[in-house]
Order: sequence, then structure tokens, then C-alpha cells
Amino acid sequence: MSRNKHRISSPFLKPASTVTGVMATVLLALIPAAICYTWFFGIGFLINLAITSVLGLLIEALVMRARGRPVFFYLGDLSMLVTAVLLSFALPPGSPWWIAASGIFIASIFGKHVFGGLGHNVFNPAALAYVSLLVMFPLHMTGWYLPGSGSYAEAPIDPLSAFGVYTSLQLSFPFLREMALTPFAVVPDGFATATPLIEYKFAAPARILMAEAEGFSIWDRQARTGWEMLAVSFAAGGLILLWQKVISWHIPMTVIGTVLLLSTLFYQPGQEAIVGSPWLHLFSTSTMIGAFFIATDPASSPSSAAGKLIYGVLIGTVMYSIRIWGSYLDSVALSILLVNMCSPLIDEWTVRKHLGQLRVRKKSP
Amino acid sequence: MSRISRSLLIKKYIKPFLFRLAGKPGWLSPIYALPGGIVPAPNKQVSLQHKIIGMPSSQLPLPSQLILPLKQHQGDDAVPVVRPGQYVYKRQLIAAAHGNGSVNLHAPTSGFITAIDFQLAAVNIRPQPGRPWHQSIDPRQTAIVIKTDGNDLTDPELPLSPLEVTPWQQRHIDELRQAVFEAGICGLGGAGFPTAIKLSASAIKTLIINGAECEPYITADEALMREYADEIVEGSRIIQTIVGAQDCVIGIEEDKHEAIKAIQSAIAGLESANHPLGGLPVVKLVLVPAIYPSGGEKQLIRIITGIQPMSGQRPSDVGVLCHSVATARAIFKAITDAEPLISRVTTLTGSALRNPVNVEALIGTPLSHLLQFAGFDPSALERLLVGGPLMGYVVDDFETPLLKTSNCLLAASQQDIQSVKASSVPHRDCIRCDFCAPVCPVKLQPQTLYFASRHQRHDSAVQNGILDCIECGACAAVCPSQIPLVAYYRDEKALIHEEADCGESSRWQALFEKHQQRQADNVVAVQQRKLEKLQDKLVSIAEGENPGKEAAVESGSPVTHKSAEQIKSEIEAAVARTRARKAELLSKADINKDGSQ
Repeated sequence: MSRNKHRISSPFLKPASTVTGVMATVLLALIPAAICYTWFFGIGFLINLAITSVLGLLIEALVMRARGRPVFFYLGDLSMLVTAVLLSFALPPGSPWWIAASGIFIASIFGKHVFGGLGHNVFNPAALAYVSLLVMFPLHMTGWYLPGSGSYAEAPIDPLSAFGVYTSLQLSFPFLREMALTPFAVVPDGFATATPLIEYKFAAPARILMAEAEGFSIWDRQARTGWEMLAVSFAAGGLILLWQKVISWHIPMTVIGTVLLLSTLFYQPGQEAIVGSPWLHLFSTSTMIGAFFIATDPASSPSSAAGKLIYGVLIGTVMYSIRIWGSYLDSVALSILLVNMCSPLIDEWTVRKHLGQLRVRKKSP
Repeated sequence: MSRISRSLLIKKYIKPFLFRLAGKPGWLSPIYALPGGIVPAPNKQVSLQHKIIGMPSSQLPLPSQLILPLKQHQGDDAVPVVRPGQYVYKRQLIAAAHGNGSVNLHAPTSGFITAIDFQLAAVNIRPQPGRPWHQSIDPRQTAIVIKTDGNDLTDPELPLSPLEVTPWQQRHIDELRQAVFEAGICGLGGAGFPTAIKLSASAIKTLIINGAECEPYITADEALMREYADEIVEGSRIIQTIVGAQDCVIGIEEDKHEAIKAIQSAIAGLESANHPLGGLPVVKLVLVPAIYPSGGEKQLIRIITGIQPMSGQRPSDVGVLCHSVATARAIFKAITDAEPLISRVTTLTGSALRNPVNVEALIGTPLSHLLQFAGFDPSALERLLVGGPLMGYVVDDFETPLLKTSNCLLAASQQDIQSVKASSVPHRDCIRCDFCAPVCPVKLQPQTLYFASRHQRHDSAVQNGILDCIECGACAAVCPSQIPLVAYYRDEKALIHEEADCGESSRWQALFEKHQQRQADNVVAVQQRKLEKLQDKLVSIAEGENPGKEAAVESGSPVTHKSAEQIKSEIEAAVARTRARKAELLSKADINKDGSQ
């Protein structure tokens, strides 16, 4: 069917919104989190972002060319940039460049275009790429390289100082390290949390309890403070999306509500290191980015309001279950991928009855 | 981010509730919230600066010719009762209703008929639901063309109608209904349904007069309510009397303040007047939230009464009748002045016009004449629309006439609508953002319908209620991918109807084939019987009887002179012929059977 033939049909109004506008709003809503991430963890995030964006647009252009579609028209929808930013948030700052490159390749090809492009994808591309990377490169994805916190806590390096920036570049591009006059050994720190998507339970419980005892200040560039501030900035971005009506409240509120409910139900004082406190589940983990930015991906979530509520509750339940009773590294991306698979079925179940629809006649007794 | 506000909580629920608590006039009865809806920029003020300008007048002269298509309504064409070259007076019947749902057509002014079988390439009938837009432009629309003489003469010998002599309150209902039929009135709100048919509905409880003109730019009804409120209220009373409705409600959007005031004072005037039918309940005014599309027939009925007609039902089936204010006034004029529908109020608006205004123009006036009057600037024109930007249709030929259903002429520039250039870009894929479902006034799931239409899955489309779609365009207006959803739905509806027609024709085909088969079988059976008879004869001859005797005596034929041998051989020949014929027919029947399979 020709895509062009319908265009002199009503309505003739100027479009109220465009896909580009929607995606641009999502990008704007991610800016606070991007600033926060860079402030706490250095420019490793920006390097990853640059790699994923440039490569992502390039891959998208090649795919569109191969599919015989107008390249710039489809690049203009900015959806690739949104995927790139979300994926960059999920990568450890300071991971080698090929991690980001293969991640965006997976996101674009296997997350999106094998299903038919934007709108047809079954899974959220960023979440799919992240989980694939986690399976393929577990060490790189869980290691913590940047000596700004973690095991370097005794001699912290300010990640935004010249030395911190230089170290970040060296970490991302290993050949720079070989060219350097004073090469340093990379010691991945398996204890510290690496990305917002890696869970708290793999962080050293003792150190975090210690940090809790010390109290935290916003400007202290400790990892824990960083994660909490990052979660808050994701929540702020999510509120921007809600205010701009890019997303509806159903999914984020049910995801957060379910996690809050379950973590309160199973909360045991004194056992924070094992089951975690509700605060920890919401703000020291990646619940916020998941609830506001990844689970709300329109293409892979159900379309009806009732379906969204079911979807959100399922995600929250699976997320909490993986965290507490599961043994896998990640909970947010996995739970979203798992429930993404259910969304066509949820859609099928929750078809709303339209006005004037004839009721199904019941058999007379 | 959007010009089209989607947050309607306050408008729909909170404001009506608070105003009702506060006891504001017009808000006293409960209203029911319409699901969905959008609030596009109204752009109504521009055309409300002046009063309605009549035609013919010093400002707006008669056009040199009027083009009157025979079908300006839903239903069969009217049949011309004049011939080319004939002189017609104003108000004279020129085409009579004939067949199903047809309406009369009258000469709007005096003049000569120049042509009737005019192949009018450019007449656009308003797209019917279920017909794709490209089919709704009927290339062979017959029209009557009148060359106006400028005198605007009424027939001097036309007798006074009995209705002009006696006030309508004293006439019989059937007489009133007949007068409406003869005036050739069809729904002026846009659908063009013959009003006389609507008025013959029985068991009507509530009559709703629709003054909720919700589409942007259109102000024809609003201007009418400002200036002719008395006639509208009186017309509503006439309709109420004809259909015997208990309640009569005029529904107006809350933002039409002057129109509301005018209607309120008209109702008050009616109450205070010592009315002959004082026992009738008064007309009630109900304000409705200014949300598109609350002016749709079923939508307004739902807002005011809370009744939702089931799929496929007409509002009259559930005891509600809805007429637009323009129809009410046309009925008033038909009853009190015996004036047929020869003119209507139309909004001339859009940024490509220098002087947007409402005019009361004659039916059949070429659009170019009206555009010229309103200061048309062709260089700014992007598209000429008849109707509003949400449900109107494009007109390419400016010589297209004004129809009974044309409520607005929107000479749209780039400020008003999406430019032609921008709309010729292919649309993006659906990203399933679900902006469309919350705005649907029928609570459909536009995405599902889009996918079903696009892939022509008719069962899925019907199941998801595509036939209940009112094509209001709210979903397409908020779609970020700018998918022309309504166009997809129209195409799909057309295909569904086509398929249903095919089902019908295949049923007839099967019946016909069965019929043929039966006929063939019959013929074979007849031959069989003949054969049996002949064989019986043969047997009897062999037994030595003379079978042809009686017949021969009666007819006096030479058969009697034949010998028994002769007769026997003739009969044998006949048997052989009949056998051959039977075999032939049987084989034919077999071929038919094979063919039909």
C-alpha cells in the first residue's frame, strides 16, 4: 500500500506533536541525569555517549539505506539517540570503546531492525543490548575502573580533574594507555557497583553500611551518593515526561508502587544487607531509570491503560523477585525484557469496550 | 508541547460540577462526560466581527448563475421537473423528491434554466462514512443550472399557503410534517439526512437542538444563534410539537457567550408570551464543555442525556432526536413563511480571506463568487476546504456550488492548516505511543484499527469497532507520526462494505445457479415422461389396440388412415428422438454442474 496516497483526507490541522518532538523531549528529560552522572563519575559516560551516538546513527543510516528507505527522514526521528543515551547510562564509565560499540550494534540491529524498525520492536533495544553485553562480557560490564571511589577510596582522584579526564580517556581507548609515559595497571574493582543497572547486593555491604553510618552529603563524590543522586535525577526527568504527557502515569507509578510495596512487606530491620530497605530499592538501584525511561518505551509496552497497569505490576514483581530470590546480576533490564514478551498478550486481554458496542448475548437459560 | 490540549479533566468534570453547585444558569441539569476529545485552537472570533450578510444585498449581489446538484443529501437523487430554457420563479420547485430519502429542490432565485444534464466534474458531495474520499467525489453529478435574471422574483400567482393564514399551533401535525417535506429540508449540520424522515420518528422523549459547534473556524451556527435566536427557539417548538417530545433541550458550547445570552432571552420571551400552547413544557438550555467533538450527534446526545445508542442504532431508536440550530430555523421558515430551503448561513473564513464573515448565501452559489466577496487572496491559499479543518473536504475547483450541507468555507493558508508540501511527505511508522486512544470519543483503540486497516484484516477491524468510528479525526490530529488514520479507516470501511456486497452477490449467484440446475432437471424430467408415454403407446399398439382412434375422430386428421405399422415406426422414431434429446440434456446438465462447481 502506498504511504502517500491518503494525504488529502481530513483532518488538515497542523500536527500537534511529532515523533521528533517526542524523542527530543525524552532527550531533554535525560539531561539532568547526564549532568549528574558526569559530575559523580567523570567523562567516561560522555565518551560512551559519543561512541554510541555516532556509531548508532551510522548503523541506522546503513540499515535504512539497505532497506531502501529515505535515510535522513528516518534519522530525523531521534529515536536512535534516545537508545544511545539510555545504553550509555547502562555502561560502566571507563569500559573499553568496543563495549559501547558492540552494545549499540546489538541495540540497533537485534533490538530494532530485525523486527521491522521503530515501533515494531518487541524488546526495548537499550535493555536488550545491555543484557546481551552482560552475558557476553560479564567482567567488563561489572568491573569498576575509574579510580574515583570504590577501592581507591583511600586516594580518590577527582573524576573531573585533568588527571581524571585523562584517565577516563585512557580507560576507554586502551591504545592511549600504551602510548602514555606512565602506563598504569587496570585493576577492575569487582566490589563497587559499576553501572546503575547493577545491583546493590553485589556491592560490598560493609562499606555501604559504613557510608550510611557516616551520613552522606550531596557534593561528596562517593559512589553511594552518586547512585542516589542519579536516581533522583532520573525521577526528575520522568516527572518532566509526565508533565509533557509523553508518557502516562500508569507504568512508572505501578512499577515504583509494586517495588515499594514488596520491599516494605519483606523489610526486616537489621537485614538491610540482604533484603535492603525500601529506600535502597527505590533510590540506590536503577529502579527509577527503569520505571520512567525503559519500561515506558511505547513500542514494547501494552497500549491500553489497563494493560499498562498489569505490565507495571508484573515488572515490579519480577524486579523484586530477581533481586531478592534470584541469583542474577541484574534485575531491572531483565524484568523489563521478560515482561516485554508478555505485552502483546496483555494487549489482547485488555481490549476496552467501545461505546455502543453490542454486548455478547448470553445464552438464555 | 502540543497546541491541542489533551488534559480535559477540569473542563469535563470539575467545572460543570462546581458551576452546578453554584447554580449557574445553563448548568443546572447534570451532564455526562464524553470520553476523549481534544481542544484545538478555536479561531472563531475572526468571522464573528460582523453580522450575517444576506444575499442578494447591496454588498453581496446575486451570482450570474446558480448550480444546483440533484443530490445534496443522503438518499436518492431528486428528479427535475423543469426543462432547459424554462423561466423559473424564486421558490419554485425544480426537482421533486423521488425514491428513498430524497428531498425537494427549489429555485433560489428567478431566472432561466440553461442546462440540466450538466456533467459537473467538480461537485463534491460530503464524504459519506464508509466511502473512501476519492470515491465521494462523484464525477457525474447531475445539476440544474439557473442563469439568474437579477430580479429575484417570486411567482405572483403563487397562492398563499394555508400556513401563512393560520398560525402553526392550530394546524395538524401531519400538515406541518408535509410542509417540512415540501420545503426540501435536510440536515444542515453537515450529514444532510432528510429532515422529514427524522420528524416521522415515533416515541421520542427528548429533542436536542444542537448548537455545540465544536469544530474550529466554523461560526455559522453561532452567528445564527446570536441573530435569530427567536426563530431557532420557535423552530425547536415546532419540531417538539411534531415529534411529541417531552423535553426540548438546546445544547450550546459554554464558550459561545453571546449566543447563550441570545438564546436565554429568546426562551424567556417565549415563557412570558401568552402562548396558545401554554401547556407545553418550555425549552431548556444546557451548556456543554467546549471540547471537540461534543457537537457530533451521538456525542451531544450522550453528554446531555447519558444515553448511548448501540452500534447501528439511530438516536431515534432510543427515544432521542437531534437537530442542528440551522435546521430548526429552516423549519421555522418553512412553516411560518412557507419558504423552502433556498439559502443557508455559511462561514467564509481562513487566513487567505481579507474579510472573514458569515453570509446567508443562496444554495448553488459558486464558491468563487463568495470567495471574491470575502476578499480572496489566491497567493496565500494552501487549500480550499468545505467544512472545518478536522472533518472538511478539499475543493479543487472554485466553481463548485454551495450545497445545503456546506456550513463553512475555509480558505486556509499555511497558518491554518498543514501545508500541502508538508502533507505530501510520507508518514512515519506508528510508534505505539498511545496518544490516540485517550482522545477517541467512541473509546476505540485507534492503533489496533490502524494496523487492521493497513493490513486489511477486515474481521479484526470490524471486531474492534471500525464501523462505529465517527471519523472525527481527533486521533489523527494528535498522532506524532502524522498517520492519516481517518483515511485508512475510510478505505477499510469501503473495503468492508464492498466485501459485504460481494457476499450478497455471491449469494444471488448461488441462487441463480440452483435455479438453472432446477430448470435443466425439469426439462430432463419432462423428456423422461414423454418417453414413458410413447413407450406405453408402443406397448399398446403391439397389443393390437388403436391408440390414435379417439384423437383422430376429434381432429379428423389423416392419422386414422395410417396403418398400425406406420404408426409404430413413427413412434419408434419419436422415441429415438426423445432419447437423443434426453441424453443431450443430461450431458448438458452435467456440464452445468461441473461448471457451477
